[in-house]
This record gives sequence, C-alpha cells and structure tokens, in this order.
Amino acid sequence: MIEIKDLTKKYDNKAVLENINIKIPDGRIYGLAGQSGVGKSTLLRCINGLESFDSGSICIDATELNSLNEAEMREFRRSIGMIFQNFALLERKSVLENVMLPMEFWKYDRAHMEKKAKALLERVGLGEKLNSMPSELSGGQKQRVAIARALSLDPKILLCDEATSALDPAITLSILELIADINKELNLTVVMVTHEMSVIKSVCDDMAIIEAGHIVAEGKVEDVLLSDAEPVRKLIGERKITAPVGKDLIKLVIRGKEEHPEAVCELARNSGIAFGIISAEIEPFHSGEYMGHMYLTVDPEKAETLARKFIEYGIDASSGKEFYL
Amino acid sequence: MSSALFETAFFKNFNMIIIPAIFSTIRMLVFSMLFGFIIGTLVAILLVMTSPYGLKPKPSVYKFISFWVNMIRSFPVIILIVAVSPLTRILVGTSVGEKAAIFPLTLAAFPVIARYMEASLLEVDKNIVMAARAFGASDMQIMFKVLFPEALPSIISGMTTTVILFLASTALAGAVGAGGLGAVALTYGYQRFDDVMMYCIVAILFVMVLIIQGLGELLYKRVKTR
Repeated sequence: MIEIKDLTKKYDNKAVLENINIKIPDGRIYGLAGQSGVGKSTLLRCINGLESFDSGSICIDATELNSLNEAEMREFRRSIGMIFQNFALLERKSVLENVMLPMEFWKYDRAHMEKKAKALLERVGLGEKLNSMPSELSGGQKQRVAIARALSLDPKILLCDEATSALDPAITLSILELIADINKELNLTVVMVTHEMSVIKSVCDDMAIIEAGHIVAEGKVEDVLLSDAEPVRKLIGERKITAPVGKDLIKLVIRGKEEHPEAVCELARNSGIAFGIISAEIEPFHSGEYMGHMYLTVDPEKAETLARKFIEYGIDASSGKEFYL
Repeated sequence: MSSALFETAFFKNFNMIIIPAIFSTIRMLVFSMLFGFIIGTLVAILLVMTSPYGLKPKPSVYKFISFWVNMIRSFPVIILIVAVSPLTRILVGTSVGEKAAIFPLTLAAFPVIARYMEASLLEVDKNIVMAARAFGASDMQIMFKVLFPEALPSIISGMTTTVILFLASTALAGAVGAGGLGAVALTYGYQRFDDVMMYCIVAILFVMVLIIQGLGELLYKRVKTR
C-alpha cells in the first residue's frame, strides 16, 4: 500500500507539487497522467526517495519515507524497481551484466546473480541475448532488459517513468502486456507515469491526472476517462462534435455492461424513433470491459424522448447540439 | 647526398646523445603522467562528488578545489617549473635534471587530467545514475561501478590528448634544465645553428606523438566496442 498524504514539494519557493493525496492498494496498476512538466515524474521519484519533499508524508507498507536515514533509504529502495523512458542501461555492459548490476550493489554471490539474471531475461523473452550489448538491441528489447533489471531485487513496487514514450505503438503494446502480466504473476504494485492515454486505458486500474502540481482528477480509469471533465478533455485534446443541420445529438456513455450495445439495437427496432450513429469510440479497458462514447443523430423534437428511453435502459444519455468528444 | 646527411652532428651523436635523450623524455613523460593520473583521479573523484551536478553537491567544497585547480592550470608549464623550483629542490634534492622535472610536470598535469576526467564522468547519462540510485547503490558504488566503467572510453581519449600535450611540455622543460629531447634540440640544434639536428629531433617527437595517438585510439576502440 502506497499512501501519499498532503505532499508538497517546492523548488525555490515555487510549489511543483501541492497537496497531493493518493492511495494505491497492493497489486494495482496506477497511472499518473498529465502533460510534460506538470510534476508527475517528480512525484514518482518522491515515492522511492530520489526526490525529497517539503511537507506531507509518503507511507509505504507502514514505512514513513521521511523518517529514514541514508542507509535505511538505500535498503528501502531495494524493494522498489524502476524503469525509464530512455531505458538507462549501461552501454558498456552486456545485457546479463546490466541485469546483475542491482544485485552487485547488494553483494549477492556471483552464481546466484547469474542464475537469477538469466531466469529474468528468459521471462522477458531475451534468453537468447544474454551476451549482447545494449547497442545491439531495439528499443523494445532494451526496455525488456530494463524490466528484468528492475525485477532483480524482487521488488514489491515497480515505478515506470514514461516507460513506453520512446517506443512505437506495436512495441508499446507488447511492453504494456509484459508489465500487466508481471503485475499479475508477482502481485506487483505498478505506478506508471505517462502522457499517453492509450497506456492508461490498456493497463491501468486507477489513475490521477496532474496539472501544474495538483491532482485535478482521480479515480478508477473508466470513471475518470468517461466523464468529460475538463482535465480529461484538456489532456486528450479538445475535440467537438456538432449536430448536422436540422438534427440533435444524443451522447451515450457505454459502460461495459453486455446489454448496452444490444440496447442500442433494440431501441432502434422498438422505439419508433429513427436515429443514426455518427460516431462511436468504444475500446476495451484493462478490466476487459468495453467502454466509450457513442453519438446519435435524431430529429430535435424526438431527442428528449429517445434520451429518456436510453436512460430507462440504464444507459447514461444526454441530448444537445454540441458535445466534446 | 645521403652520406652527407649521415656526416651531420645528429647522426654522429645519435648513440651518445639522442638515444639517451629519447629515454630520458620517455621516463619524464611516463612518471609525470603516472603520478598526474593518480592525483588527477583523486581530485576528479572529489570534483564529481561535490559538483553542483555531482553525486553529493557541496558547492563550497567544489569551489575551493576548483579554485586551486584553475590557479595551477593558469601557469604556463615553463613558468611553473621555475616558480616551484625551490620546492622541487626541497623534495627532490635538486632543481635540474630529469628527476627534478617530474615534480613540476606532475603538478602541471594533475589539474588537466582532473578536469578532463571530471567532464568525462559528468557526461554519463544522468538517468543511468538515477537508475543505480533507485536500486540502492551508494555514492561510491555509483562512482566505481557506474561512472568510471561508462566513462572509460572518454577518459582514455582525454588521457591520450593529455599525454601528447605533456610530451610537448617535457620538451619545453628542456629549456630550464630538465634534459631530454627538448634540451638536445635547444642546445645542440638551436644554439649551434644546426638545423638538421633540430628538425630531426622534431621528427622524433612527431613519431612519438603518432605512436601515443595510435595507441590511444586502439585502446579507445577496444573499450568502446568490447
């Protein structure tokens, strides 16, 4: 359990993080989203003590970070793995040596280090590349090495700092899949900093949006993303959808219940109201459920009635001339 | 023509003067570089620890070390040799000759080496340092298990440049009583108006530069690609 309470951090008297409150239960994947420079990476680095903070507290499994001295802090960091946007591998060490490095810091014996590193590299799919140098690997492979390295000290928490931002979409997916698998296998708590919404959607359970050092939205990923709260719109980019001439729009919030898509079909048949689907963006979320928005066009005088019929089916519907996508 | 060349002072004195001077230069260079490297490394470690961009920023300590490093560096080598000659006499027993030159050359070399090395070490990707720290590495572990191994190629090319720079300095030291090739070029060449002697010694120095540069590059490639 990671518990951040009233955390504030200042640089030169200017607050870069203010009144941050977050609780992350064990085994969850938590996304910290926001544009660059809003303090999300700083917050991540506070969690493993790489950055200090001015007030408030961070508690991890009953360990209060501010109470640790330097040696205790080093010891504490063993239980937290970390991966980075640019991988941060040592260029002059082989893949195997890179994975062994954290264990070397803790003076594990050589045979154990090698065995463990080989097993981890096998796990991330790089069993064939033990003696390759990082410069011979692709971006995705480098991040796999970094993940193996981050797991070498058997952490309970994995911190990911824009871990997929330097990778192309297909590779990003495979890395996210790996992280999600590891999260399940090891019951690892994962905290991901990212500016990519697709990352949040595909792996995170919960999320927070940070804007200028403040948390402006927090909760389950679907709750945050399906609300069209301003912070979400800002982050995704404001796009509007406008009703065609002579029509009204109805916005439906589809929330993964199986009967939802069917309800649309059923109402098309039975409501006696003609409507068209002009836009739908429904995606699978990390929970496996399909969620998103659907926009219908309908005659203005029938909009109210149709919206009410959807609401009767338990689908959140609203009518209007213009919506944010 | 060629027999006339072999009749010159350079070839007549080759075995008696030139060869010993070559070895004298090599000894001065090797020892001053060795001592300079050891002291320079220690100073570089202090600089990298205390630098504002370093592992444990301590600006006041950094400024203090930096001040002395800069001051020594501002002395032209030939002036430094003369300026510290009283100290040299106390430490080495004499202020002339090859051994006496090693002390001021070391003194001139270590700040240069320290600066080159500081730059090489601080050039290592900050994320790698942060990663090491995130895994619980101590400052000393970061220094010796991360920074030095990663910066090694850069340190080697810095050292190559420094050694060549100080080959020229040992020749310069010949002007103030250090011996070696510089002294021979000056006393047997320049002062006797023997151009052949002077240019032949320059040619020897040139070959030495080529060898040092070649070895440096070889070593660089070896550690860079492993």
